[in-house]
Formats: sequence, structure tokens, C-alpha cells
Amino acid sequence: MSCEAVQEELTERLLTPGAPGPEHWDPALRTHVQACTACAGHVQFLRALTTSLASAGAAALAPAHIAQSRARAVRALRAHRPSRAFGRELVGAVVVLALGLPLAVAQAWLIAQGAAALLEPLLPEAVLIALGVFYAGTFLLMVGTLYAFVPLWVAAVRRARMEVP
Amino acid sequence: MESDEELMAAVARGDERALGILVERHTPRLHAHLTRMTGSGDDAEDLLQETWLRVARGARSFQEGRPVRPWLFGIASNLARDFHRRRSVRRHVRHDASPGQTPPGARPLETIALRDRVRRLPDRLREILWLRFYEGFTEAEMAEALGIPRGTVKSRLHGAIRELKRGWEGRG
Ligand SMILES: [Zn+2]
Repeated sequence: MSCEAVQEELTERLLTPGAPGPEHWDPALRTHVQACTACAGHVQFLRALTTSLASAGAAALAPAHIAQSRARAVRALRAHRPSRAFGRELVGAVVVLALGLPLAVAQAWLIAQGAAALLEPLLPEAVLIALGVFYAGTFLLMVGTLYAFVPLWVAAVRRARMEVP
Repeated sequence: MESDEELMAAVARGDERALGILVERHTPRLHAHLTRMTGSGDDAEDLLQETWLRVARGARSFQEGRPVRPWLFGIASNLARDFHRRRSVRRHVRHDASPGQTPPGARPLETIALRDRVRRLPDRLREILWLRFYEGFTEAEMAEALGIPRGTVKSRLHGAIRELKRGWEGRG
């Protein structure tokens, strides 16, 4: 056995906490160390090193920190569930908006009827039609924009939930 | 008791209880490792939280059957290395990182000197020595944790030992 091989073997053995003592070493290794000053010196160095490393106490961690880590990790896990959750939230939002749609249309219709009754004696028919088209266009644009924001809004809600304080 | 690998497989399916057990089981050792790596208990706490967030976020893509402990320490080590790079704290690593340790006067000078030499080792050598000594990682586990070949682990470990021994032999 070369000194290099012996010293590598000694490093492996002595750096293992709780490793068996020299009495359990391979006889060839033990004999070499007893006869070789360099390798005996290596053992002495490794002992000093492990004593030094072992003397460093570990910083204590408050149980509250473990609980905090746990809570945040669980929240992050929940937020990273498969995107089915996103689909569900999206469907929910669309259903709510769809239920509200007849109400919005009815209200817009009533306003249009009232305005038409008021303006009919005052304005020519062509202007009334143009105003009607403008009103309907504005209404559709507003409802369309609102609906286009649904996925964005759902994504923002999910992101906020994902973000951990 | 469920193994880490069983728990991680459950976490990958979204099991919050399994994640909780893993956090409870590994947080103290991860914290000790990060404290050594950063030299500061407070920084270690921040990186610890980030480690678990990454675990939770990466859970679904976790490859089943992969050893969990090296993976966890790999995430923590990467974060600590990035932290060093960002803050370049290597030069002024605080020495008050271990509240539980004995005051310097109570230890032989040789012990203190060796620990200082360990602190001054390059990161890549130091973390190998720490994973080996404090976590009892095998060569294969260290290779898995750090994403390097086993041969590199071996050469770094022996490189660290040579470096420290040189200083130790020249002491006095
Ligand atoms: Zn020898």
C-alpha cells in the first residue's frame, strides 16, 4: 500500500463521525500506520481536524421558524397545484359574469328605450339611429373588455395567493 | 416511519402533510448547513425558507426514486453559493455564527486555528468537507447534491485535506 492510498483511506475513515476505531481497521492499514511516520502524522492531523470541526456548535433554530417554513412551503405547494385549479376558478368567474349578463343587457335596453322616447320628438331619425348604434357599440365594448379581464383577474388572484408574506 | 422518498412522492401529488413532515425532519440540519455556509444565522434562516419554497415549487417535477436528502442539501448549497456570489461575504464571514459554541478561551489554539483555516478554504472545497463530516454524506450523495461527478467529489475532498494539512504542518 502506498502512503497516498493509505492516507486517502485514513481520510475516508476518520472523517466519518462514529466510524470504528483503529482496532477495527484492516490489519495491513494498521501495520502501515504503526511503521510510517508520515501516515501516523496524517492520523494525528485528521484527529486535530475532526476535533476542531466537532467543537463548532450548531446554531439553534427556534421552533417558530420551523413552523413558519412549514406554513410557507405548504402555501407554495398549494399555489403550484396542477392548472386544473386555474380552470375551475376561471369557469367560476365566467359563470358569475354570465349570470350577471341578462341584468346588464336589460338595464342597457331600458336606458336605450327611455332615451329614444325622450329624444324622438327632438331629433331626426337618422341621428337617432346613429346615437343608437354608438350606444350599443359602447355597451358591447365595455362588456367585452370586462370579460377579457376575467382570465387576467383570476391569474392575478392566484398569484397573490401564491406569494407568501 | 415513511422514508423521505415516499414522502416526496406524496408531495409531488400535492400532499401537504407529507411536505410538513419533510420540513420538520430536515429543517434543523439544513439550517446548520446554511449557517456554516453563510456564516450567519439570520441569512441561513432566509435561505432556509427559500429552500423549502423551491422544494414546494419543484415538487411536481421531482423525479421519483431520486434520493431526497442530497437533493435538499443541493438546493440549499446552491442558494448559499448564489448568496456568496451576490454579497461576496467570503472575506468577512462573521465568526459569531454559532451561538451554541464554546467561547474561544475554552479551546486549544490549534482547534481555533484549524477552524479558521477551514473557513478560509474555497467554497467548493469547504462544502464537500462539511457535507462529509457533518452530514455523513457518501461520495455518491455529495455528487448527487452538488451535481458533479464522483471523481470530482473525491479530488475536492482530498484537495481540502491537503490544503488544511499544509497549513497545519507549517504551524507554530
Ligand atoms: Zn505511509
